[in-house]
Amino acid sequence: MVIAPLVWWACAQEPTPEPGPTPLDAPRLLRRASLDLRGVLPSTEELEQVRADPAALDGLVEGYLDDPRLEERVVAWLHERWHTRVDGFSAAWYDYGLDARDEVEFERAVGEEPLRLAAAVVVEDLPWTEVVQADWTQANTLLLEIWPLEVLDTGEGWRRARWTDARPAAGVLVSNGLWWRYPTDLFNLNRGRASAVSRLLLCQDLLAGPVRASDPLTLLEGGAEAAIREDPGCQGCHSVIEPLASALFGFHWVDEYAVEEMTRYHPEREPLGALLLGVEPAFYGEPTADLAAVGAAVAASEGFEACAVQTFAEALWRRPTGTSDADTLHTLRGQFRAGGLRVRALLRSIVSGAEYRAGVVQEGEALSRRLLSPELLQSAVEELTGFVWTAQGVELLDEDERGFRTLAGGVDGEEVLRPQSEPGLTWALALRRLAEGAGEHLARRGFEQGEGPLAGLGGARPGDAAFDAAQEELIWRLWGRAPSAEDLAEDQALWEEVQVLDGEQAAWAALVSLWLRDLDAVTR
Amino acid sequence: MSQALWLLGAGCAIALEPAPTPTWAPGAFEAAARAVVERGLPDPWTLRALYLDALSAGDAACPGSDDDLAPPEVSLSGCTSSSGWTYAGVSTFEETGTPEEPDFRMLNADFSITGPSGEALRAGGSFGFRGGGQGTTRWWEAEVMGSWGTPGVGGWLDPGGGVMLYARLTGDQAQLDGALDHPDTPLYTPGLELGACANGGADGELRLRSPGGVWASATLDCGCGFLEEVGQELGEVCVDLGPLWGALAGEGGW
Repeated sequence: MVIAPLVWWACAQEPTPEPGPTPLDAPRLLRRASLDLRGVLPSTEELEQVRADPAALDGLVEGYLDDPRLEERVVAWLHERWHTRVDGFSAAWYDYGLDARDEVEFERAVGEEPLRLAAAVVVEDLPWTEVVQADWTQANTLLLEIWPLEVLDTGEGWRRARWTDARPAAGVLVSNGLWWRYPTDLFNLNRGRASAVSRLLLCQDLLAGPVRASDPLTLLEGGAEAAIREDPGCQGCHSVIEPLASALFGFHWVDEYAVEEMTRYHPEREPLGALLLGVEPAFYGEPTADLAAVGAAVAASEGFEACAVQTFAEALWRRPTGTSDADTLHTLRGQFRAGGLRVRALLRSIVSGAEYRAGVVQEGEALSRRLLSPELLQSAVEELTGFVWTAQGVELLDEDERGFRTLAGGVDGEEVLRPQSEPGLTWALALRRLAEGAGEHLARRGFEQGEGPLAGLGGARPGDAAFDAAQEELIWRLWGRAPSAEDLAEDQALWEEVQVLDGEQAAWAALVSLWLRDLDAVTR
Repeated sequence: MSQALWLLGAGCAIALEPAPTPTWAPGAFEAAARAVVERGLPDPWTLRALYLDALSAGDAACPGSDDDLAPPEVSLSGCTSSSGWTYAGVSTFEETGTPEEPDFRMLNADFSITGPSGEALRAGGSFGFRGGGQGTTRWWEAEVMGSWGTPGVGGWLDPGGGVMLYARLTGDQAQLDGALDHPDTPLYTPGLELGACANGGADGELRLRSPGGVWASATLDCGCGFLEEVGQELGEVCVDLGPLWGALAGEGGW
């Protein structure tokens, strides 16, 4: 029988691999990487370079990983996960005798302290474990004035500092900014903070699962404290939470609104955890003498390493990871480990991968588009046009009490915990206003101040070389692709209409505004 | 370098991890304990006096009260009286006792008071005292909680720090438990009893934290006990807490 060998032969062949995503073309991919790693659009020269030679892309992206603007990107990514850039804390600017005009600066300084520590670890190419083991933090001038810190680096802006109140060397685990964002009270006793450590640094959300006591009578008769200690259903999580919470009592405050309590570490209260919770400090069963030991235990845990990979992959892929990503994440984790747990090496692996570079996901499907976050929109628009959308001294895409951060798809860290991934109504409204402001600003710079890409275009009309060149270059820079003849013709017709009504400056403002609202502009 | 213990015949080895080098030593513990108690305690009577004196320097517009800091007179960002004293924050103080049976309480304090010469009282927490009797029937109980500081007055309050102390005196014996910050060696005790021993020594557990964050403890019996650090016994200590007893048993009470 010849059938059996044929069947055997068919079964012995390698399975046909599933077709992967088609990579984005080089200019659009360069644009994506430039926005992600630097927060700005690539220059015209850089776009031309990769259009002529796509192989030049990797070298340019490698340079982006060394760009100092990577720090701001890391701060933005980590806020989307750690949620510390909130618009208010229990202590306020007036508690430190600051001026009301310092309110936003104060809130951002506090909230960014742990993020800046982590970002410094990334940009200085230190092992990621330093995030939970550093004997330093990052502080700006405001924090150096109000908190018990001594500066270690000279210079302006965020710089290295050390706490002077005897707090252990444990990186963000002894960060005021982190524990102000995740306060506790005399009933919760640091359990919420322990859960935050698990969620932020180990990617284990202990509150995600059902909270169900094995025996409801334990709850009725003994109350929550008894259930936590005795009920197996509760012990599943609390066997981890209680010992970790027990290690955090240097941040135990007798009044959760008193700034004197919140400002300083309280070493004298470290033994209270064992007294009030009835368990000695430990991390997943491993006794820990102090928070420094907790940091070391966290750093050594597999979950910490895996969570770092997940955190930065999600930041760059702009979506949650899932089961289908298991193979890719496993590979990235091996590369991360091989790179000495340095995040820049991890970022290099991620941006080199197929998932990051995906263009057309499936034959005939739309491009793999990732919405620009509001802070990315602002930084890209500012670099291109010089426009910063502010009111009363506040950047409106960075704040929610006066601004439009969450309306524009951002994360406020309290109610909105994930960035928006799809266009929405408020997003569209915020984008429209940003685009209008940026268009007017760029046109004013060009026509009234003789600056920028619109300078010298007075009197130029569609069809003139100067007009057409400016139009094509701005679109090329903004979208990362050359405009079609149809695009150009439609724009020029609009320009003519507006020019008749309001003049050429307004006409250019209208075009720039329109380009900024194009799908190719607001996604990458 | 680990030590290996071979069992002859069995041919197996048991490797023993060497004990970690201790941070503390008996003499250092005794000296540190003495230094902590010599610095004194943040007592409620001193806090009461500092607070009421500071408020008395104000006027009807600011802070507008003899014993509380509250809006509208005192805004969140503070106010400055005609005498130049600045009051910012909130506080609620009440006093219901008599000179024979004092009873006063700072229910909540979250404030900063600054005098024209730079003197300051910063607070975040509470304190209270009540007592009565005389001689062998004398009694009081008191607590100081939170963070307190007033540079320039000397003692524990200069520069101050964190505290969670509860104390009680009954006749000629006192009990103290809680936590006390110190620039070098913070202190914690789950319970000390003073006055019961003929030699003046204390009974109970005393813990001190080294500048590097290592805690050591001694369970005292009339002032002496064995020092322990992470389960290692380091030798006998005899801790002189005389100044502590003096602070608690003195005239007027803690």
